[in-house]
Amino acid sequence: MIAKAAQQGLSAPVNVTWEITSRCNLSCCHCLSDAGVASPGELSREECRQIVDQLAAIKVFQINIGGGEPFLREDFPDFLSYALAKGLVTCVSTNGTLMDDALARWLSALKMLYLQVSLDGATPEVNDRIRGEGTYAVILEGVASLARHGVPFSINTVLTRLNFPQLDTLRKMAKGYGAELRVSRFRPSGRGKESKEWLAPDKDQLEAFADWLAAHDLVRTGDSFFCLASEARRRKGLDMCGAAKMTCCLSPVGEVYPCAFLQEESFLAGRIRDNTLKDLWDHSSILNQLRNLQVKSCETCSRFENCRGGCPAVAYHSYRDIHAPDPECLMNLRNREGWRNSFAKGMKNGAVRIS
Amino acid sequence: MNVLRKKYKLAPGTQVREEDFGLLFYHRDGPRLFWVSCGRLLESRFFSGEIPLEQWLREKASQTPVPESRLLSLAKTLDQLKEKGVIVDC
Repeated sequence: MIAKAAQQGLSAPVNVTWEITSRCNLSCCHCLSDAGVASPGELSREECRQIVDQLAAIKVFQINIGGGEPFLREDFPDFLSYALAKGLVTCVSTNGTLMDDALARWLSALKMLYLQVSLDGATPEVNDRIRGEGTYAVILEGVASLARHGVPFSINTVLTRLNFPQLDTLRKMAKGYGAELRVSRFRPSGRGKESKEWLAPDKDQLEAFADWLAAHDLVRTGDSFFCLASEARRRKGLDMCGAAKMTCCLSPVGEVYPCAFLQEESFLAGRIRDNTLKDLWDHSSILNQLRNLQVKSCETCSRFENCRGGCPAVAYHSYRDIHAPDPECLMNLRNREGWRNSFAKGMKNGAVRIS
Repeated sequence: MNVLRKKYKLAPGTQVREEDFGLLFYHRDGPRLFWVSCGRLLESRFFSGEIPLEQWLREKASQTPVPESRLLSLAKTLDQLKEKGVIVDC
């Protein structure tokens, strides 16, 4: 029922990923948004408020704010207060480096707010290689401030080749701060395209991670690993790609995309300065395409009814074809050579296919 | 049937909206989603906690006849939502 309803299109997104700025004080080598400096023409404070009004009116339940680093925007506290007052559950992804006791104290008074602090290693050697020299210590200072003031947060780790061996330690670290560990999937978009070769987890690690996840029920993954998760775990949450079905992504300048990992011109649904989100959600051809995406080569798979071909963004960034199967799904990992050969036969070199 | 005399409202942290298939509940813990395939038999305003289920369904049935089995199934769904902390009776 869920898959069918989602394919037909909900009346509005369940949640919207909103990259509220491209500005960032770090330069992480896997950043999906290639963040650094602010984009020219980022949405103003007033425009952001108007968008929040729209989201509340169409009953979007939750917004996931990311960037860039949201707390670099001077008007971000005002934005947060406004979104929460409008009843939007708000989850903020932050690099944690701007967090101090004063900010944590202010955040602790807000209801319906959740934070995710990014930490990509249990040691400075691993984390700092990914997020930048000296960041490990600064992030943990921020985390300690949040814990001291009782702000609900999770530690978010993008699974990489370097930090896979540290997952147990990361889980214990999070627990020590009263937080949960959330593990996200490395996707080869943004700066991840460049770092994929040395940073993306390898096949053996991904298979081992599937077992690790099955053994650690409380570790959250968002919708990152439905293509890897055990049946028992999948039944607890969304078992398929939510792009255009449950969620969409709003860029710092108001462009609407199916998801944060497909922010390319070919996937642009429209601009919120020209249309309402409701109009784009209901009528955009690219969003409709994603809702009805067919991954033919997966249809005979025993897990197809659940994962529906996996993550189209990973398929696109790997093969320039959103109709390609997710190369990192459990079935493809276990039968990698056979799958790679059969897929390669039907694939023109360098072809781009989105419809 | 006792459940028919109950009134329900959303539990703290729950939101609901109407969809073509029925109702979509969201609970901020998790967050969790609950999909209730009830068409227009239930609407979000039912969860104001003011209208007993029996009265609501009587009004609905006066517009379109509703089979007994459907009503029973609906009562069971509401019970399950209550067990999961999505709604509370009042």
